[in-house]
Amino acid sequence: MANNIHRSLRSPRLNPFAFPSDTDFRFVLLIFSVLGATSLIYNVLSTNPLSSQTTAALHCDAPFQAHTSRSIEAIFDAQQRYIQCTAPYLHLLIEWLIGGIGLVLIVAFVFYWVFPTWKLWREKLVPLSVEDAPEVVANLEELCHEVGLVPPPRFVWNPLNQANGALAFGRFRQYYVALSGGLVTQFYTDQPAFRAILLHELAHLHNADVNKTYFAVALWRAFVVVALIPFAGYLVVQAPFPTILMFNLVFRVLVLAVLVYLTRNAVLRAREVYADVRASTWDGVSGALSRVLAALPHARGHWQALARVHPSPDERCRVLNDTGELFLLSFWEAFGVGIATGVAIPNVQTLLEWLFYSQQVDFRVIVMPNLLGTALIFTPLVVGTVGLNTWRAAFAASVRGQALRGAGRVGLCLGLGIILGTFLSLPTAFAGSSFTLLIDLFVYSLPWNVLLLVGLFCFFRWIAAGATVWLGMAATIRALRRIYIVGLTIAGVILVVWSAQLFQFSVFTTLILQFSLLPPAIVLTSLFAEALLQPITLLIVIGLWAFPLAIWFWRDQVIASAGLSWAFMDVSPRQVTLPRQNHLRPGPGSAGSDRGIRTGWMDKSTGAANRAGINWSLRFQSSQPTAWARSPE
Amino acid sequence: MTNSEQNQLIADLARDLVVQTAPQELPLFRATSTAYFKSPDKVLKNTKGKEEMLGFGVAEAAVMMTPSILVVMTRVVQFVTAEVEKSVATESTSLISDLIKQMFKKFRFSEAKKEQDTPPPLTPEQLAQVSKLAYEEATRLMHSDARARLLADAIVGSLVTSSSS
Repeated sequence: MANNIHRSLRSPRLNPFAFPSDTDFRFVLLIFSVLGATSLIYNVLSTNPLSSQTTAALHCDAPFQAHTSRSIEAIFDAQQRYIQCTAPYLHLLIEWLIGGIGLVLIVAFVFYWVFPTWKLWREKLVPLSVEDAPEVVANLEELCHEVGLVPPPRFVWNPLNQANGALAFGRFRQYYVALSGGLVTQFYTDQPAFRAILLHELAHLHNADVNKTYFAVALWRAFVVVALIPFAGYLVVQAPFPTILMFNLVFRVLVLAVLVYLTRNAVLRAREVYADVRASTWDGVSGALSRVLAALPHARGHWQALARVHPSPDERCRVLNDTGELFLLSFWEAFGVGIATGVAIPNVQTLLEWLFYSQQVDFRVIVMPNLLGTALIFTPLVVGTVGLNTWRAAFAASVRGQALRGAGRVGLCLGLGIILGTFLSLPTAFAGSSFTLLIDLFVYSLPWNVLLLVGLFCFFRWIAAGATVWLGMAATIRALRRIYIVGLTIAGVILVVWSAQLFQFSVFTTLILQFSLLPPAIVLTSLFAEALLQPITLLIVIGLWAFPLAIWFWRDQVIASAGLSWAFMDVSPRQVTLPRQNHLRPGPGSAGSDRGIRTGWMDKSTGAANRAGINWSLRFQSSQPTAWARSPE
Repeated sequence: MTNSEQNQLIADLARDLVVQTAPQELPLFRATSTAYFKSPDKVLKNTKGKEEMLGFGVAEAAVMMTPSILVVMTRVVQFVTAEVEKSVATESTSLISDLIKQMFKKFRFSEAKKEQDTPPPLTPEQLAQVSKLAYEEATRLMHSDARARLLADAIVGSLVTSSSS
């Protein structure tokens, strides 16, 4: 009773379903990380079936050994001859690697497809029929109808399972919800609790968690069976390896395994919270979800909590009452995404490089397409995870009339993750077979690492600023969707171009600093100046300026009086007043305390301005400070 | 005693125990006992709460008693059968079946039998053995000392003792 009163009095919860979940992109990122690692493991495994070709290819570096001139042309010429020499080997290698990746995917698909059948057999699950429990079956049909699940899942149970649990599983277009005998018994003793648990499981189906989750798990299992175990066997059979190479390989594979495992758990925990929130919207204020969650057993320690696929009951209850936690900027998530990206990028880059080299294409021609291809794969994933997270945080901050802080730090965490991930990636294991080479790698990569960190810091502050400005135009959830899709697409395009430039800068810097006789400062300055003078750089700068400024064209557009019902859950449109987008215009910038983009999202009562912080030498001037606020009713 | 007869006896006795100890499970008794007799070894031994992907959370362990009651009652009936068979080794199967039923209050008093047909009740030692057997099995399955004790006491209470006869 007290719980119900508390819930009915709570302030409206922010609607986390206004934005898509970033976990979808994190699943894709996991898949790329695993496939990237597979390609490198199969590269190691290729030395056996392709031993003669590998030995022949090892002698292809003769042009580098022979030349004494350190002119750039000579280096390029040697590189080209090296490519021509290794092309036949790379052709075979690519076929082998694609075969390895294909094998992992096929096995993953088989695991994914067979899993439901195995689960039914393993857990002794049988269909829950009307003869078994007519009232329960009728209730389940009602629930599916209530939440709009068409077609409904198949309900199965094990009447001899005495525990109290439920589980959603299945495969494409064939979904199941398994109930234990204990849970079905609960229908007769505590129907609200039974309903809450079932709604949580139906929420997993509604949120389309089943296919993503079970395919990601199947992929990981396939990776272990088809890549990791043969790799371990290879290391044992082919021993002795050079100690440092052995250490580098094993250490990296282990770190990768732990990383994938922890990331998978973190993503699954996030899915659970979304399922809880979704279920709570169906369960209503008088529902038993909070009570049932609070009664769940707690994890014993922090490490145990990391290994769990459900958040702690306390956390779940907290989020259920205040969904604001789902809108916080997550520094660890950004760091994790950075590591996954950093681990995967060199793998994919190497694979694409070999693909081009096997066709004997001039390496100067393929540098940009290769880098652009890699950037095109990973930038949408980074923007889809960390960028979307920033938009969500900007949305929550705006609704509360607060300034969004920490967007720059999120960029820094992402950048640090990418740097660490690059170090942990498997290609580095081969490059860093001696300590000196490892140090060289870090020294030569230092300029691009610094540039990456500074760039990402500014970039995410820019995303936050743009999001804060543009969110004021979102009168409906459809408008919001249009706005963030356009915003993130622009951010994605800018990041693709910028990161491709940065990769290119990194490649040439490393190459030229290693071989050029010119002082590094001069080489770096000239490279940097050349990069700045590229037309594409100008386009990036225009894009960076144009996106937040373009709001000026819609300055008179006022959010319609339909209300902001989409921004909150459990609230009728009448309870929320409209934010008013004020007349914004670009004005002259000023240094000092008032620098940065002033977005016009100011809280009238507190006067707390939302300052984005980047000195653009321009600011939006707001004639009427506004906020998104609830009406006093 | 044939298998079906024994199963029927176990089901009848277990149902009484469910009525006494977990009446809320009565609506599911038929489905549960049918599943149990189809494959008695399928009662999940590991009922400790486990966590599964896309489940609700760490499952609460052994909230249901019926499967445990069926398993425990099977062991008890097997024990009583063995004890009866030892004492009346030369009798026919159908008579042994009747004698076993007579060891339980439910059948001893409901079925009008002649005094000479009723077997002697279990000795205090045998009752202690039944109690120990039931308690150990129930503890293993339900992970709850209190509920295991309750079940063991109920089973001992269902048997005919010297004082009750």
